Amino acid sequence: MTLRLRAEVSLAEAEDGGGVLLDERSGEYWQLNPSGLTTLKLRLAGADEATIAETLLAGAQDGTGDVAQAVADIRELVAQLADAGLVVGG
Amino acid sequence: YSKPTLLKLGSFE
Repeated sequence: MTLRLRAEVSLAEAEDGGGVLLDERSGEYWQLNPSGLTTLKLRLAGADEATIAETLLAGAQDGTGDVAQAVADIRELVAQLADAGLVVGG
Repeated sequence: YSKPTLLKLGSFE
């Protein structure tokens, strides 16, 4: 099942490369840092965790981070998005 | 490497 934003949730990209999520149902709004936005967009497009992890690590450009840690971080972010009621599926 | 993060900014009426 593909991850998707709830119908009442809007996503806007910020100038710093991050994103803002607005939940019109609860009135809450949230901020994603640039790697968070990359993770969400790729996840919404159906990319798997390994692909997203490689993308995040490639963006680091200095060899910092490792795939296992990146995958764990991706899972943590998706869980936070689900707990906040911003996404369904996945 | 930058860990992906989600931060609640607030809420509105």
